[in-house]
Amino acid sequence: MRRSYKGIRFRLGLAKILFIALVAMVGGRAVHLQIWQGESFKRLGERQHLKEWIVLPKRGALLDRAGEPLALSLESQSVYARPHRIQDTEAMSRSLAQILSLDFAEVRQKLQLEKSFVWIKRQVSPAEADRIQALNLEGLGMFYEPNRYYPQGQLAGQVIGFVNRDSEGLEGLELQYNDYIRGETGSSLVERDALGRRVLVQGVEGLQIPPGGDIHLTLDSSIQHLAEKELEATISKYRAKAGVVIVVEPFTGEVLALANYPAFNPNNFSQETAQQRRNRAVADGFEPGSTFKTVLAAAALEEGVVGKEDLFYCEMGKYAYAGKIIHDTHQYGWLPFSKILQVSSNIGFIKVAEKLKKERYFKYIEKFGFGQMTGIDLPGEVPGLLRRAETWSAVDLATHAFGQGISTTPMQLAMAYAAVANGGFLMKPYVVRRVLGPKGEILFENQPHVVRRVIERRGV
Amino acid sequence: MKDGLAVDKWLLLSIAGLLAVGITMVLSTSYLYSQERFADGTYFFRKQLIAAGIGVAALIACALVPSATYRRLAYPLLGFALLVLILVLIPGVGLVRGGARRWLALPGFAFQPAELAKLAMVLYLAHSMAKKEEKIHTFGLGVLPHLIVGGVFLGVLLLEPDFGTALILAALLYLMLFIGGARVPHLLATALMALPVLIYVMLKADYRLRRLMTFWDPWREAAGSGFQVIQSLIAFGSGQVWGRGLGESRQKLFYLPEAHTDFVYSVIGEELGLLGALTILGLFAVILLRGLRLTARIEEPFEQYLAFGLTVLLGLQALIHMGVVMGLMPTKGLVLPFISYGGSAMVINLMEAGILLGLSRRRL
Repeated sequence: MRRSYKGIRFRLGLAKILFIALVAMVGGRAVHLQIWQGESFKRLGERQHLKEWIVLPKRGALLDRAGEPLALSLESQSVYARPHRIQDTEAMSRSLAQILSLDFAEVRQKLQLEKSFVWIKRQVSPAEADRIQALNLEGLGMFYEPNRYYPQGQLAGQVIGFVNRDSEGLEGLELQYNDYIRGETGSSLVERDALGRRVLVQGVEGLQIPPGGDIHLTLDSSIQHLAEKELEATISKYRAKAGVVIVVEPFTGEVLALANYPAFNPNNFSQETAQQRRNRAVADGFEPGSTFKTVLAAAALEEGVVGKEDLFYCEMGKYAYAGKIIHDTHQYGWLPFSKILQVSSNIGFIKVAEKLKKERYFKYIEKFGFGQMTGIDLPGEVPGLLRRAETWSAVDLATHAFGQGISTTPMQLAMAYAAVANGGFLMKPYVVRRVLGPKGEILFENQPHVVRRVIERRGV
Repeated sequence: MKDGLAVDKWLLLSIAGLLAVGITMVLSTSYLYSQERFADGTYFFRKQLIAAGIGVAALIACALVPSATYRRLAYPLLGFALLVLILVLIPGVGLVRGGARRWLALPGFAFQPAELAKLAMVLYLAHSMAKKEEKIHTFGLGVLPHLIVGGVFLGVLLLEPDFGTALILAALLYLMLFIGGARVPHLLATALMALPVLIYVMLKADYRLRRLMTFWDPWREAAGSGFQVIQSLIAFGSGQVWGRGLGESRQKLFYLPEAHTDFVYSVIGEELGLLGALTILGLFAVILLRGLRLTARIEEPFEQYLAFGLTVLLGLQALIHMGVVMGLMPTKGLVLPFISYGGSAMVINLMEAGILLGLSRRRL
C-alpha cells in the first residue's frame, strides 16, 4: 500500500503521549480535589447546605389571681406563596386580597416577583386560614408560627409587656420572667437548596419541645379594670398627661392592680409609643408633694416628738421661715397635730419637722424605702432621688416636710403607705405569685417578704 | 473477513458504558430543575431518552455506511454546516439561551448547528488532507486552505458566541494538520499569528476576560463568575472517594448552574465519588487509546485521518469539560459527550462513534 509520508507513526506517538498526559492531569486533579482537599471543600459545602432550623416552643400563659388569662400563645398560620408556581396570578391575587383583606395591587406585585418564596400575610386568623386552605391552589401554602395574644387588650398592658416575633420577651413580665415561660427552643439541622428553601428536614417530627411555664399573677382583673377606669376618668377631669394607680395588699406586698395612663395594648405593640409602654409606677420618679406628709407624721409620732393632741400655731396661713414666706391654702390658727394631718397644713408640718430635726427625719425617709428600689419583680425600676440630710439647709427641711425636693416612684410611696397600714412592716412588693411548669410543678414562687420594720411604737 | 460486522469491542463497551451512566445522570441532575421549571421531573430525562434512541439508531447506520460515502459527503456537509451556522445568527431564526445565539428552532426540538460543524470539519479535513497527499508539506497549497476554511468557521462561532466549540475546532484543526504531515514551523508560525486575534477576542468580550481572571483566583469573585467554579469544586470535594450516592448530590440543588449539561461531571464526582469520576475518565481514555490504536492500523489516508479526527473530537471534548469543571481551565460551557443533557450533541456524538466503530470493522 502507498504511504504518503512515513513520520505518521512518530507523530501519532506524540499525540498519544499528549493525550495520556492530559488524562493523567485530569485524573490527578480529581484525586487532589476529592482526597487531599476533599474535607475542606466538603465543609465549605455543608456551610451552605445545612442550616439550623429553629422550632419555637409554646410560650407559657399569664393568668391573673383568679386564673383569667392575660396573655396566651396561639399557634397561628402564616400564608406564603411560591410565585413561579402560580398559574393565574390575577385570579389568585384577587382571592387573596379578598380573603385576607389586603390591597389587590400589592398582592399582585408580590406574586409577580421573580422569587421562589414570598410571605403574603403573617399570622392570619383561624377563619382566614380555613378559607385559604379551601382555595387549595398550587403555589400557595401556610406555615405554623407561634403568636402571642393578649385577650384583655390594654388591661395591665405595661405590667405584662410584650414579645417579639421570635417569642422573646422585650418588656414587662414577658421580659422579667422570660426564662421561665419561653420554654426550650428546639432545633434541627435542615438541608437547603441554593434558593434558601428547606429541602430535607430530619427529625423535626420527633423533636420534643418543652413548653414554657404559666405565670400566676397577684393582679386581680376586676380591680385592675376598675383602677384603669377610675384613673382615666380622673386624668380627663384634671387634664393630666399621665397617671398611676397602685392597689397593694399591705400585709403581703401583693400588687392587686397597677394601672398606668396612657394605656398600652400589647396586641399591637409596634404601633404604640414609648410613652404608652412606660410603666411609670416603677420607672418614673416624681415629687410626692403632700402625699409625703404621712411619712413625716409617722416618723414624728414614732419618735415621740409630737402627740396626737399637741397644739401647733399655723400662723394664719402665712409663715416667714428661713427668709421665705410659706403659705397654706386656708388660714388656720392653733390646731392639734391630728387636725394638721387632716387639713394637710404646710406650716404645721414645718413646725413638726423642726421638732423632729433633719437627721431623724432623713432616717425615717430611708427606712420607709425611699431612695432604694422596692425590689418588685418588674423591669426598669429606678430608686428615685434623695439628698442626704447633711446637705439640707433650713429651707430644705421645710420643703421636705411637704414632700418637695425629693423624687420617689409611685411604687415606693404605695409601699410606704402599706407599711403604715401593716403595723410598720415594710413589705417587698410583687406581681407574680408563682410560675407553674407544664405538669403543674412549681418553677418559681414569691413569698411575702418583710424588708424591715419601720415603726413599731407610737407611729403605728 | 470471517465476520464483517465485528467492531472494536473495547470502543463499543466504553461508549455503551458512558451512555448508560449518562442517561442515569441526566435523570439525577435534571429531575429537580425540570420539576421546578415544568412541574414534571422527567421532562428532560424523557427527551434525552428519545435522543439516545435516535442516536443509537444513527450509530448503527453510520457504522454500516462505507467510508467512500463519507468522502462524497464531506463538501456538501461542510457547506450545509456553514449555512446553518450563519442561519443561527439571524435574529428570529436563532434561539437565544443564556446570552448566546446557538440554537435553531425546529418543530419539536432545538438544533445546535455547532455540533454538526465539528463533525463536518473532521470529514472535510480528512478528505482534503488525503486528497492533497504530499502537497500537505507546502504552506500555500497544503496548510493555508485548511486554515482559511477553519478560520471562517471559527469566526462564525465566535459571533454566536460559542468560544468552547471554537476552541475545540481550533485544536482539532491543528492536531489533524500535524498528523497529516504539515510542517511544524508552518503550524507554529500560524498559531503565533492567530495569537493577537485571540487576545482581541478575549478583550472584546469582557465576560471572557473575567472568566479568565476568576480562573486564576476564583475566590476573588466567589459570588460572581467565580461562583460556578467554587460550587463545582465543592461538589468534587463533597464526593470524596465513594461519593454521596446516586441521586444524593446537594450541589445540584441549584448551587451548580446547568448541573445537567455544563457541570454534569461535577455531580458525578459528588454522587459517585472519586471512583465514579475516574471510571468516566477511564472510559474516555479507552476511547482515546483504542481510537489512536485504530488510527495507527489504518493504511488508507482518508480513513486514517477520519479515525484520528473523530477520536480527538470525542476525547478532547471530554477532557476539556472535565478540566473546566475541576478548575484546570477557564469556564467554557462545554458538554460531556454521551453524558450531558442535549439532543443535538447526543445524536451527533453517537454518529461520530458509529463512524469510528465502522472504521474498526475488519481491522481488529
